[in-house]
Amino acid sequence: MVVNYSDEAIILGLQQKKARYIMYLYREYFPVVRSIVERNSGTKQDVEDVFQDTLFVLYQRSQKNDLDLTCSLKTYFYAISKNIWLQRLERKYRLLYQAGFEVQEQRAAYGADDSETIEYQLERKRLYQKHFFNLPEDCQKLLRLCFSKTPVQQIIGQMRYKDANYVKTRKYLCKNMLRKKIMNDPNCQPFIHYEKT
Amino acid sequence: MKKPEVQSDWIDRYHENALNQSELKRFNGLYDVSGILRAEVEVDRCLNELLTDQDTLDFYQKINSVSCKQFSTNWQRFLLLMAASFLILFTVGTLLYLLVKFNPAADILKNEAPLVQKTESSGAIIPESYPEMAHAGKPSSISRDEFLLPYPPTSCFEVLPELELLVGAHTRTSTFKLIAPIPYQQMAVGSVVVFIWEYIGPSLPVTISILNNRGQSIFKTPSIEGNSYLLDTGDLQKGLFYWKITMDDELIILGKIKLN
Repeated sequence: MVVNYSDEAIILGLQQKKARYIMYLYREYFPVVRSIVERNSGTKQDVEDVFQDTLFVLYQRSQKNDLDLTCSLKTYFYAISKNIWLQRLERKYRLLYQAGFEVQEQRAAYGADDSETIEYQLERKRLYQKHFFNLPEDCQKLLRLCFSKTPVQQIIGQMRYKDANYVKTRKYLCKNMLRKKIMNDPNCQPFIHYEKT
Repeated sequence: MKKPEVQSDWIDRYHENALNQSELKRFNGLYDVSGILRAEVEVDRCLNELLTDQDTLDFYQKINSVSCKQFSTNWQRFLLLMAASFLILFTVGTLLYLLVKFNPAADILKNEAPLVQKTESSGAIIPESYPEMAHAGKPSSISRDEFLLPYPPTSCFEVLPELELLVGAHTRTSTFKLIAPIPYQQMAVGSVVVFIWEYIGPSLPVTISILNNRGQSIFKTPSIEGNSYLLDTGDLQKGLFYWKITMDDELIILGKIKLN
């Protein structure tokens, strides 16, 4: 049986990070993104990336409770994903759009100038998190514990490490591993600046 | 004084403000000249931001799991579709095989003995005026391949109106005269039908064909140069058959035999 959720239910579900709402969005909204991206010289991977970025923008908005929809959620989703993809094209291929009006119009629709919706940051965040989730399980867990400011003693207990020194060493090792993975990923190169700013 | 050696954890410690004075001085010196270190410090700063934002990480984790599920669901769907297709093909194939194997029509083709077996004692019906026909030779066999379509027993005695009209009618009588058989003859299965004819004028080769009561040709002789032909009905089933004699692909006479 196909279940249809209202826009409000989806936003609430997204706020609570419920998998079934994310799956629903995949099922219902993914074709929308695909039509935008593939129509504009995008690949299947691009579709997936733009979809995830759009989902993240929507999530952040729902977290801040500033999703004041004046149109349907699908239209909103369409606007975000279209803008992300056009910005990405612009950045990657340095294309000059004559039909810039459309981009501006779409930006206005959801306030794309806000920091969390800057396409560049979205992509960087997505790539970095991908590398993070490719780390060994214990590294992921340790880094999450360390960055959530969990007391060292608790970390020792949870991770079954011998002492605080080992926690520190292990944390540095994991972090170093993650950094190296990112530095060596060609997709991450646009986000790595070797020049002094 | 020996300069402190740069360790891999310095970048982390730099961001944690955990470097001591001499380490910091050395680090800053390197930072100014090394592009790689600068890039690594920048990456580390972004990573710290990401890792501090546990909520974002949780959300990405959720997206990843759903995305994987979607992927595996698509694969499952694809595999299911493939399996279903194979199952359907297998079922249809099996049904067709069984249908061919146990079809009564195919059974006749497969299991029956040759339609006409060569026999020395033919039991031919020879007209009295042509006793020499008793030595005309062995009756011809109808090969199995020429038995085109077997037909159900219920309809094997039904007449075919289109051919009924032509039974006994000579369409070209000027040079050909049929002596035997008579246009409509009844006989037992296994009898030999004797065809005898005369030519009034130049003789031409003829062909004799046997048709079933659907008008389908089940046997055709090669061109016959002589004046007679023996046809063994030993392996024909009971039923009504039509025969026709043609000369140069032109019908001369058509008759019928009822085999009881």
